[in-house]
Amino acid sequence: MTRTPLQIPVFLVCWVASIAAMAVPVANATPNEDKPLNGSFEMIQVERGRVLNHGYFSFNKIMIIDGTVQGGLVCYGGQTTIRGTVTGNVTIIGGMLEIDQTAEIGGKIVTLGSPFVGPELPVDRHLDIPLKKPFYPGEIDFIEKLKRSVARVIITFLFSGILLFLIPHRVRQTGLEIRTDWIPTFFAGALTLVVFVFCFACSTIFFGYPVGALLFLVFALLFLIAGLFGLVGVLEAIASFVSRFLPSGWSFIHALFLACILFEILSLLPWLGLLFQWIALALGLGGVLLTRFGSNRDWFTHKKKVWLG
Amino acid sequence: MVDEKQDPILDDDLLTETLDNLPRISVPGVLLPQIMDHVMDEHIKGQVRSVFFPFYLFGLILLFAALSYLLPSDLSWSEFGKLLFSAPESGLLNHFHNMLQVCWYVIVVQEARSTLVEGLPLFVGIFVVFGIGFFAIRYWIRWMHRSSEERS
Repeated sequence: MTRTPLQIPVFLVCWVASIAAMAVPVANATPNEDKPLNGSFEMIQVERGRVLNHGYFSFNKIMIIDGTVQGGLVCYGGQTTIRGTVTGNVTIIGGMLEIDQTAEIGGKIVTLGSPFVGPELPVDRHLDIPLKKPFYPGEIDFIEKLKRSVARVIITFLFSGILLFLIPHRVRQTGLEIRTDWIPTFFAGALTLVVFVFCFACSTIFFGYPVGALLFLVFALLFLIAGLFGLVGVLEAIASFVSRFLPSGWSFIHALFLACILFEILSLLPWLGLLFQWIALALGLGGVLLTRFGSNRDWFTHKKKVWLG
Repeated sequence: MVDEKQDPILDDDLLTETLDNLPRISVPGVLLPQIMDHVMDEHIKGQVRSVFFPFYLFGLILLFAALSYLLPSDLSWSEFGKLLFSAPESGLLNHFHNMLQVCWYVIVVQEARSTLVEGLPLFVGIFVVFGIGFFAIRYWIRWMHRSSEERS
Protein backbone atom coordinates (compact mmCIF):
# COMPACT_ATOMS: atom_id res chain seq x y z
CA MET A 1 0.00 0.00 0.00
CA THR A 2 1.40 3.40 -0.93
CA ARG A 3 0.94 6.50 1.13
CA THR A 4 -0.96 9.38 -0.44
CA PRO A 5 -0.85 13.01 0.69
CA LEU A 6 -4.55 12.84 1.59
CA GLN A 7 -4.15 10.16 4.23
CA ILE A 8 -3.08 12.40 7.11
CA PRO A 9 -5.92 14.97 6.69
CA VAL A 10 -8.44 12.15 6.23
CA PHE A 11 -7.14 10.49 9.35
CA LEU A 12 -7.39 13.73 11.35
CA VAL A 13 -10.95 14.36 10.09
CA CYS A 14 -11.93 10.79 11.06
CA TRP A 15 -10.37 11.32 14.48
CA VAL A 16 -12.28 14.54 15.17
CA ALA A 17 -15.52 13.01 13.79
CA SER A 18 -15.16 9.91 15.93
CA ILE A 19 -14.56 11.93 19.09
CA ALA A 20 -17.63 14.06 18.26
CA ALA A 21 -19.65 10.87 17.77
CA MET A 22 -18.86 9.86 21.34
CA ALA A 23 -20.99 12.67 22.63
CA VAL A 24 -24.23 11.22 21.27
CA PRO A 25 -26.66 11.41 24.19
CA VAL A 26 -27.41 8.08 25.80
CA ALA A 27 -31.11 7.31 26.04
CA ASN A 28 -32.69 6.63 29.43
CA ALA A 29 -29.42 6.97 31.29
CA THR A 30 -30.80 6.99 34.81
CA PRO A 31 -30.06 3.55 36.24
CA ASN A 32 -29.40 4.82 39.75
CA GLU A 33 -32.96 5.73 40.56
CA ASP A 34 -34.47 3.76 43.39
CA LYS A 35 -36.97 1.19 42.25
CA PRO A 36 -40.18 1.62 44.23
CA LEU A 37 -41.47 -1.45 46.01
CA ASN A 38 -44.77 -2.48 44.48
CA GLY A 39 -47.13 -5.42 44.47
CA SER A 40 -44.87 -7.52 42.23
CA PHE A 41 -42.71 -8.49 45.22
CA GLU A 42 -43.53 -11.81 46.78
CA MET A 43 -44.23 -11.61 50.52
CA ILE A 44 -42.93 -14.12 53.05
CA GLN A 45 -44.07 -13.90 56.64
CA VAL A 46 -42.93 -15.83 59.68
CA GLU A 47 -45.92 -15.47 61.99
CA ARG A 48 -45.75 -14.86 65.70
CA GLY A 49 -45.14 -18.09 67.59
CA ARG A 50 -43.75 -19.91 64.53
CA VAL A 51 -40.15 -21.14 64.78
CA LEU A 52 -37.94 -21.77 61.74
CA ASN A 53 -35.21 -24.26 62.61
CA HIS A 54 -32.88 -22.98 59.88
CA GLY A 55 -31.58 -19.76 58.42
CA TYR A 56 -33.28 -18.07 55.51
CA PHE A 57 -32.13 -16.67 52.16
CA SER A 58 -34.37 -14.41 50.07
CA PHE A 59 -33.98 -12.58 46.78
CA ASN A 60 -36.12 -9.50 46.08
CA LYS A 61 -38.88 -10.41 48.51
CA ILE A 62 -40.77 -8.68 51.28
CA MET A 63 -39.80 -10.52 54.48
CA ILE A 64 -41.70 -10.00 57.71
CA ILE A 65 -40.32 -11.83 60.74
CA ASP A 66 -42.74 -11.87 63.65
CA GLY A 67 -41.73 -15.32 64.90
CA THR A 68 -38.28 -16.86 65.41
CA VAL A 69 -35.57 -17.71 62.89
CA GLN A 70 -32.96 -20.02 64.38
CA GLY A 71 -30.06 -19.13 62.13
CA GLY A 72 -28.93 -16.32 59.88
CA LEU A 73 -30.96 -14.18 57.52
CA VAL A 74 -29.56 -13.08 54.15
CA CYS A 75 -31.68 -10.86 51.88
CA TYR A 76 -30.68 -9.58 48.45
CA GLY A 77 -32.93 -6.66 47.53
CA GLY A 78 -36.53 -6.36 48.71
CA GLN A 79 -37.69 -5.15 52.09
CA THR A 80 -37.14 -6.90 55.41
CA THR A 81 -38.98 -6.13 58.62
CA ILE A 82 -37.95 -7.86 61.85
CA ARG A 83 -40.25 -7.73 64.86
CA GLY A 84 -39.45 -11.18 66.23
CA THR A 85 -36.18 -13.03 66.90
CA VAL A 86 -33.25 -13.94 64.63
CA THR A 87 -30.54 -15.91 66.39
CA GLY A 88 -27.84 -15.51 63.71
CA ASN A 89 -26.49 -12.66 61.57
CA VAL A 90 -28.79 -10.43 59.50
CA THR A 91 -27.24 -9.45 56.15
CA ILE A 92 -29.14 -7.15 53.78
CA ILE A 93 -27.62 -6.30 50.39
CA GLY A 94 -29.22 -3.68 48.18
CA GLY A 95 -32.55 -3.78 49.99
CA MET A 96 -34.23 -2.13 52.97
CA LEU A 97 -34.19 -3.16 56.62
CA GLU A 98 -36.58 -2.18 59.36
CA ILE A 99 -36.00 -3.42 62.89
CA ASP A 100 -38.65 -2.94 65.54
CA GLN A 101 -37.88 -2.09 69.17
CA THR A 102 -39.21 -5.51 70.17
CA ALA A 103 -36.87 -7.42 67.81
CA GLU A 104 -34.04 -9.56 69.14
CA ILE A 105 -31.00 -10.15 66.95
CA GLY A 106 -28.48 -12.69 68.25
CA GLY A 107 -25.71 -11.99 65.73
CA LYS A 108 -24.45 -9.02 63.79
CA ILE A 109 -26.43 -6.79 61.44
CA VAL A 110 -24.81 -5.93 58.11
CA THR A 111 -26.50 -3.52 55.71
CA LEU A 112 -24.72 -3.06 52.40
CA GLY A 113 -26.22 -0.26 50.36
CA SER A 114 -29.49 -0.69 52.22
CA PRO A 115 -31.40 2.02 54.10
CA PHE A 116 -31.91 1.09 57.75
CA VAL A 117 -34.75 2.03 60.07
CA GLY A 118 -34.42 0.99 63.69
CA PRO A 119 -32.64 1.56 66.96
CA GLU A 120 -29.08 2.84 66.88
CA LEU A 121 -26.63 0.05 67.63
CA PRO A 122 -22.87 0.08 68.26
CA VAL A 123 -20.61 -0.66 65.28
CA ASP A 124 -19.64 -4.12 66.55
CA ARG A 125 -23.36 -5.00 66.34
CA HIS A 126 -24.31 -3.15 63.15
CA LEU A 127 -21.96 -2.65 60.18
CA ASP A 128 -23.55 -0.23 57.74
CA ILE A 129 -21.78 0.19 54.39
CA PRO A 130 -23.60 2.91 52.47
CA LEU A 131 -23.37 3.03 48.68
CA LYS A 132 -23.58 6.68 47.79
CA LYS A 133 -25.36 7.49 44.58
CA PRO A 134 -23.78 10.52 42.94
CA PHE A 135 -26.07 13.23 41.68
CA TYR A 136 -26.82 13.11 37.98
CA PRO A 137 -28.78 15.83 36.27
CA GLY A 138 -31.47 14.48 33.97
CA GLU A 139 -29.98 16.02 30.86
CA ILE A 140 -26.22 16.08 30.50
CA ASP A 141 -24.80 18.78 28.30
CA PHE A 142 -23.32 17.66 24.96
CA ILE A 143 -19.92 19.16 25.74
CA GLU A 144 -19.91 17.64 29.24
CA LYS A 145 -20.54 14.22 27.73
CA LEU A 146 -17.80 14.78 25.18
CA LYS A 147 -15.44 15.89 27.94
CA ARG A 148 -16.03 12.71 29.91
CA SER A 149 -15.53 10.58 26.81
CA VAL A 150 -12.21 12.30 26.06
CA ALA A 151 -11.12 11.80 29.68
CA ARG A 152 -11.92 8.08 29.46
CA VAL A 153 -10.00 7.75 26.17
CA ILE A 154 -7.00 9.54 27.75
CA ILE A 155 -6.99 7.12 30.69
CA THR A 156 -7.44 4.04 28.47
CA PHE A 157 -4.77 5.09 25.99
CA LEU A 158 -2.28 6.04 28.69
CA PHE A 159 -2.83 2.86 30.68
CA SER A 160 -2.62 0.54 27.66
CA GLY A 161 0.48 2.37 26.38
CA ILE A 162 2.24 2.03 29.74
CA LEU A 163 1.35 -1.66 30.00
CA LEU A 164 2.50 -2.27 26.42
CA PHE A 165 5.81 -0.63 27.24
CA LEU A 166 6.35 -2.51 30.50
CA ILE A 167 5.17 -6.00 29.51
CA PRO A 168 4.84 -6.06 25.69
CA HIS A 169 5.27 -9.81 25.42
CA ARG A 170 2.44 -10.62 27.85
CA VAL A 171 0.04 -8.12 26.30
CA ARG A 172 0.80 -9.44 22.80
CA GLN A 173 0.25 -13.04 23.88
CA THR A 174 -3.11 -12.19 25.48
CA GLY A 175 -4.18 -10.26 22.39
CA LEU A 176 -3.06 -13.13 20.16
CA GLU A 177 -5.11 -15.61 22.19
CA ILE A 178 -8.20 -13.39 21.90
CA ARG A 179 -7.69 -12.86 18.16
CA THR A 180 -7.02 -16.42 17.20
CA ASP A 181 -9.12 -18.52 19.59
CA TRP A 182 -11.88 -16.08 20.40
CA ILE A 183 -14.69 -18.64 20.88
CA PRO A 184 -12.96 -20.76 23.58
CA THR A 185 -11.53 -17.58 25.07
CA PHE A 186 -15.01 -16.07 25.34
CA PHE A 187 -16.47 -19.14 27.03
CA ALA A 188 -13.52 -19.47 29.41
CA GLY A 189 -13.91 -15.78 30.27
CA ALA A 190 -17.67 -16.07 30.76
CA LEU A 191 -17.09 -19.00 33.12
CA THR A 192 -14.48 -17.00 35.05
CA LEU A 193 -16.96 -14.14 35.31
CA VAL A 194 -19.61 -16.48 36.74
CA VAL A 195 -17.07 -17.79 39.28
CA PHE A 196 -16.16 -14.23 40.29
CA VAL A 197 -19.83 -13.27 40.69
CA PHE A 198 -20.36 -16.38 42.84
CA CYS A 199 -17.31 -15.51 44.96
CA PHE A 200 -18.54 -11.93 45.44
CA ALA A 201 -22.01 -13.15 46.42
CA CYS A 202 -20.52 -15.63 48.91
CA SER A 203 -18.21 -13.06 50.45
CA THR A 204 -21.08 -10.58 50.93
CA ILE A 205 -23.09 -13.31 52.65
CA PHE A 206 -20.14 -13.77 55.03
CA PHE A 207 -19.86 -10.05 55.75
CA GLY A 208 -21.38 -10.77 59.14
CA TYR A 209 -18.21 -12.72 59.98
CA PRO A 210 -14.88 -10.89 60.18
CA VAL A 211 -13.36 -12.85 57.27
CA GLY A 212 -16.09 -11.81 54.82
CA ALA A 213 -14.82 -8.27 54.22
CA LEU A 214 -11.26 -9.51 53.72
CA LEU A 215 -12.37 -12.14 51.21
CA PHE A 216 -14.37 -9.48 49.35
CA LEU A 217 -11.29 -7.24 49.18
CA VAL A 218 -9.09 -10.02 47.82
CA PHE A 219 -11.64 -11.05 45.19
CA ALA A 220 -12.11 -7.41 44.17
CA LEU A 221 -8.35 -6.96 43.85
CA LEU A 222 -7.98 -10.10 41.73
CA PHE A 223 -10.94 -9.10 39.58
CA LEU A 224 -9.58 -5.60 39.08
CA ILE A 225 -6.10 -6.82 38.06
CA ALA A 226 -7.46 -9.50 35.73
CA GLY A 227 -10.11 -7.17 34.26
CA LEU A 228 -7.71 -4.31 33.56
CA PHE A 229 -5.05 -6.59 32.08
CA GLY A 230 -7.71 -8.32 29.97
CA LEU A 231 -9.00 -4.94 28.78
CA VAL A 232 -5.53 -4.07 27.43
CA GLY A 233 -5.43 -7.51 25.77
CA VAL A 234 -8.76 -6.76 24.08
CA LEU A 235 -7.46 -3.34 22.97
CA GLU A 236 -4.37 -5.03 21.52
CA ALA A 237 -6.60 -7.44 19.60
CA ILE A 238 -8.76 -4.57 18.28
CA ALA A 239 -5.60 -2.60 17.39
CA SER A 240 -4.20 -5.55 15.45
CA PHE A 241 -7.48 -5.76 13.55
CA VAL A 242 -7.50 -2.00 12.89
CA SER A 243 -3.85 -2.02 11.74
CA ARG A 244 -4.85 -4.12 8.72
CA PHE A 245 -6.72 -1.13 7.35
CA LEU A 246 -3.96 1.37 8.05
CA PRO A 247 -1.23 2.23 5.53
CA SER A 248 1.77 -0.09 5.77
CA GLY A 249 4.15 2.52 7.18
CA TRP A 250 1.94 3.41 10.14
CA SER A 251 3.07 2.05 13.47
CA PHE A 252 1.08 0.10 16.06
CA ILE A 253 0.53 3.17 18.24
CA HIS A 254 -1.80 4.68 15.61
CA ALA A 255 -3.82 1.46 15.64
CA LEU A 256 -3.89 1.42 19.45
CA PHE A 257 -5.11 4.99 19.53
CA LEU A 258 -7.88 4.20 17.05
CA ALA A 259 -8.74 1.07 19.05
CA CYS A 260 -9.20 3.15 22.23
CA ILE A 261 -11.52 5.53 20.38
CA LEU A 262 -13.43 2.66 18.77
CA PHE A 263 -13.84 1.01 22.18
CA GLU A 264 -15.27 4.22 23.63
CA ILE A 265 -17.67 4.74 20.71
CA LEU A 266 -18.94 1.15 20.87
CA SER A 267 -19.34 1.42 24.66
CA LEU A 268 -21.52 4.50 24.28
CA LEU A 269 -24.08 2.85 22.01
CA PRO A 270 -27.41 2.54 23.81
CA TRP A 271 -28.02 -1.05 25.04
CA LEU A 272 -25.46 -2.51 22.63
CA GLY A 273 -22.72 -0.59 24.42
CA LEU A 274 -23.26 -2.49 27.66
CA LEU A 275 -23.43 -5.79 25.78
CA PHE A 276 -20.17 -4.94 24.02
CA GLN A 277 -18.53 -4.16 27.36
CA TRP A 278 -19.67 -7.49 28.85
CA ILE A 279 -18.31 -9.34 25.80
CA ALA A 280 -15.03 -7.43 26.02
CA LEU A 281 -14.76 -8.25 29.73
CA ALA A 282 -15.43 -11.94 29.09
CA LEU A 283 -12.87 -12.02 26.27
CA GLY A 284 -10.32 -10.19 28.41
CA LEU A 285 -10.79 -12.51 31.40
CA GLY A 286 -10.63 -15.52 29.07
CA GLY A 287 -7.39 -14.28 27.55
CA VAL A 288 -5.93 -13.76 31.02
CA LEU A 289 -7.00 -17.23 32.16
CA LEU A 290 -5.86 -19.15 29.07
CA THR A 291 -2.48 -17.45 28.78
CA ARG A 292 -1.86 -17.14 32.53
CA PHE A 293 -1.55 -13.35 32.40
CA GLY A 294 0.14 -13.49 29.02
CA SER A 295 3.01 -15.76 30.10
CA ASN A 296 1.52 -18.45 27.81
CA ARG A 297 2.34 -21.16 30.31
CA ASP A 298 0.12 -23.78 31.84
CA TRP A 299 -1.21 -22.87 35.30
CA PHE A 300 -0.15 -26.17 36.85
CA THR A 301 2.64 -27.68 34.78
CA HIS A 302 4.31 -24.38 33.81
CA LYS A 303 4.82 -25.82 30.33
CA LYS A 304 5.06 -23.29 27.56
CA LYS A 305 2.23 -23.51 25.04
CA VAL A 306 3.37 -24.02 21.47
CA TRP A 307 1.45 -23.02 18.37
CA LEU A 308 1.26 -25.91 15.96
CA GLY A 309 1.30 -25.56 12.20
CA MET B 1 37.98 -17.05 -15.24
CA VAL B 2 36.90 -13.95 -13.46
CA ASP B 3 39.47 -12.02 -11.56
CA GLU B 4 37.65 -10.79 -8.45
CA LYS B 5 40.27 -8.22 -7.71
CA GLN B 6 39.37 -6.48 -10.94
CA ASP B 7 35.76 -6.07 -9.86
CA PRO B 8 35.45 -2.33 -9.12
CA ILE B 9 32.48 -2.77 -6.79
CA LEU B 10 33.74 -5.59 -4.63
CA ASP B 11 37.23 -4.31 -4.46
CA ASP B 12 36.31 -1.09 -2.68
CA ASP B 13 33.32 -2.30 -0.77
CA LEU B 14 34.22 -1.85 2.87
CA LEU B 15 30.95 -3.28 4.03
CA THR B 16 31.60 -6.59 2.33
CA GLU B 17 35.03 -6.72 3.83
CA THR B 18 33.72 -5.94 7.27
CA LEU B 19 31.03 -8.58 6.96
CA ASP B 20 33.58 -11.14 5.84
CA ASN B 21 35.73 -10.45 8.87
CA LEU B 22 32.89 -10.80 11.34
CA PRO B 23 32.81 -14.01 13.34
CA ARG B 24 30.19 -16.41 12.08
CA ILE B 25 27.57 -17.17 14.73
CA SER B 26 25.24 -20.05 14.20
CA VAL B 27 21.94 -19.68 16.02
CA PRO B 28 20.17 -22.90 17.02
CA GLY B 29 16.72 -23.13 15.45
CA VAL B 30 15.14 -23.63 18.86
CA LEU B 31 16.17 -20.13 19.90
CA LEU B 32 14.69 -18.41 16.85
CA PRO B 33 11.17 -17.92 18.33
CA GLN B 34 12.69 -16.42 21.49
CA ILE B 35 14.83 -14.07 19.41
CA MET B 36 11.83 -13.10 17.30
CA ASP B 37 9.78 -12.47 20.46
CA HIS B 38 12.54 -10.30 21.86
CA VAL B 39 12.80 -8.37 18.60
CA MET B 40 9.02 -7.83 18.54
CA ASP B 41 9.00 -6.68 22.18
CA GLU B 42 11.75 -4.18 21.50
CA HIS B 43 9.88 -3.04 18.40
CA ILE B 44 6.67 -2.40 20.39
CA LYS B 45 8.62 -0.63 23.14
CA GLY B 46 10.25 1.53 20.52
CA GLN B 47 6.86 2.43 19.11
CA VAL B 48 5.55 3.49 22.54
CA ARG B 49 8.74 5.56 22.95
CA SER B 50 8.19 7.15 19.54
CA VAL B 51 6.84 10.64 19.09
CA PHE B 52 3.31 9.47 18.29
CA PHE B 53 2.36 8.26 21.77
CA PRO B 54 2.95 11.64 23.50
CA PHE B 55 1.59 13.36 20.40
CA TYR B 56 -1.79 11.66 20.61
CA LEU B 57 -1.87 12.02 24.38
CA PHE B 58 -1.10 15.70 24.10
CA GLY B 59 -3.79 16.07 21.43
CA LEU B 60 -6.38 14.47 23.69
CA ILE B 61 -5.35 16.60 26.66
CA LEU B 62 -5.57 19.72 24.50
CA LEU B 63 -9.04 18.70 23.40
CA PHE B 64 -10.06 18.10 27.01
CA ALA B 65 -8.64 21.50 28.02
CA ALA B 66 -10.53 23.20 25.19
CA LEU B 67 -13.78 21.52 26.22
CA SER B 68 -13.18 22.46 29.85
CA TYR B 69 -12.67 26.03 28.73
CA LEU B 70 -15.94 25.95 26.79
CA LEU B 71 -17.85 24.38 29.67
CA PRO B 72 -16.16 25.22 32.97
CA SER B 73 -17.13 22.93 35.80
CA ASP B 74 -16.99 23.52 39.55
CA LEU B 75 -16.25 19.83 40.18
CA SER B 76 -12.94 18.98 41.84
CA TRP B 77 -10.62 16.46 40.14
CA SER B 78 -11.54 13.75 42.63
CA GLU B 79 -15.26 14.37 42.04
CA PHE B 80 -14.70 14.30 38.30
CA GLY B 81 -12.76 11.04 38.64
CA LYS B 82 -15.61 9.51 40.64
CA LEU B 83 -18.05 10.70 38.00
CA LEU B 84 -16.05 8.95 35.28
CA PHE B 85 -16.38 5.69 37.15
CA SER B 86 -19.99 6.07 38.13
CA ALA B 87 -21.65 7.99 35.28
CA PRO B 88 -24.54 6.11 33.68
CA GLU B 89 -22.90 6.13 30.26
CA SER B 90 -19.81 4.43 31.72
CA GLY B 91 -21.71 1.15 31.50
CA LEU B 92 -19.85 -1.59 33.35
CA LEU B 93 -17.69 0.88 35.24
CA ASN B 94 -20.90 2.15 36.77
CA HIS B 95 -21.55 -1.34 38.16
CA PHE B 96 -17.95 -1.75 39.33
CA HIS B 97 -18.28 1.55 41.14
CA ASN B 98 -20.35 -0.17 43.84
CA MET B 99 -17.67 -2.84 44.30
CA LEU B 100 -14.97 -0.19 44.60
CA GLN B 101 -17.09 1.80 47.04
CA VAL B 102 -17.39 -1.20 49.37
CA CYS B 103 -13.61 -1.77 49.17
CA TRP B 104 -12.94 1.91 49.85
CA TYR B 105 -15.30 1.94 52.84
CA VAL B 106 -13.79 -1.22 54.32
CA ILE B 107 -10.26 0.17 54.03
CA VAL B 108 -10.86 3.79 55.02
CA VAL B 109 -13.47 3.66 57.80
CA GLN B 110 -11.77 2.66 61.02
CA GLU B 111 -14.64 0.63 62.47
CA ALA B 112 -14.85 -1.46 59.31
CA ARG B 113 -11.07 -1.78 59.16
CA SER B 114 -11.06 -3.30 62.63
CA THR B 115 -13.15 -6.20 61.25
CA LEU B 116 -10.41 -6.80 58.67
CA VAL B 117 -7.81 -7.16 61.40
CA GLU B 118 -10.20 -9.39 63.33
CA GLY B 119 -10.64 -11.68 60.33
CA LEU B 120 -6.96 -11.84 59.38
CA PRO B 121 -6.06 -15.07 61.27
CA LEU B 122 -8.95 -16.97 59.69
CA PHE B 123 -8.10 -15.56 56.27
CA VAL B 124 -4.46 -16.63 56.60
CA GLY B 125 -5.69 -20.09 57.60
CA ILE B 126 -7.94 -20.33 54.53
CA PHE B 127 -5.10 -19.02 52.34
CA VAL B 128 -2.68 -21.62 53.67
CA VAL B 129 -5.18 -24.47 53.18
CA PHE B 130 -5.95 -23.40 49.61
CA GLY B 131 -2.24 -22.85 48.93
CA ILE B 132 -1.43 -26.37 50.09
CA GLY B 133 -4.30 -27.68 47.95
CA PHE B 134 -3.05 -25.79 44.91
CA PHE B 135 0.52 -27.02 45.23
CA ALA B 136 -0.64 -30.57 45.91
CA ILE B 137 -2.74 -30.56 42.71
CA ARG B 138 0.11 -29.00 40.78
CA TYR B 139 2.55 -31.64 42.00
CA TRP B 140 0.07 -34.39 41.12
CA ILE B 141 -0.52 -33.00 37.58
CA ARG B 142 3.23 -32.62 37.00
CA TRP B 143 3.74 -36.18 38.23
CA MET B 144 1.07 -37.37 35.76
CA HIS B 145 2.83 -35.55 32.92
CA ARG B 146 6.13 -37.31 33.56
CA SER B 147 6.95 -40.37 31.54
CA SER B 148 7.05 -43.77 33.19
CA GLU B 149 10.87 -43.86 33.03
CA GLU B 150 11.14 -40.58 34.84
CA ARG B 151 8.70 -41.76 37.49
CA SER B 152 10.77 -44.85 38.21
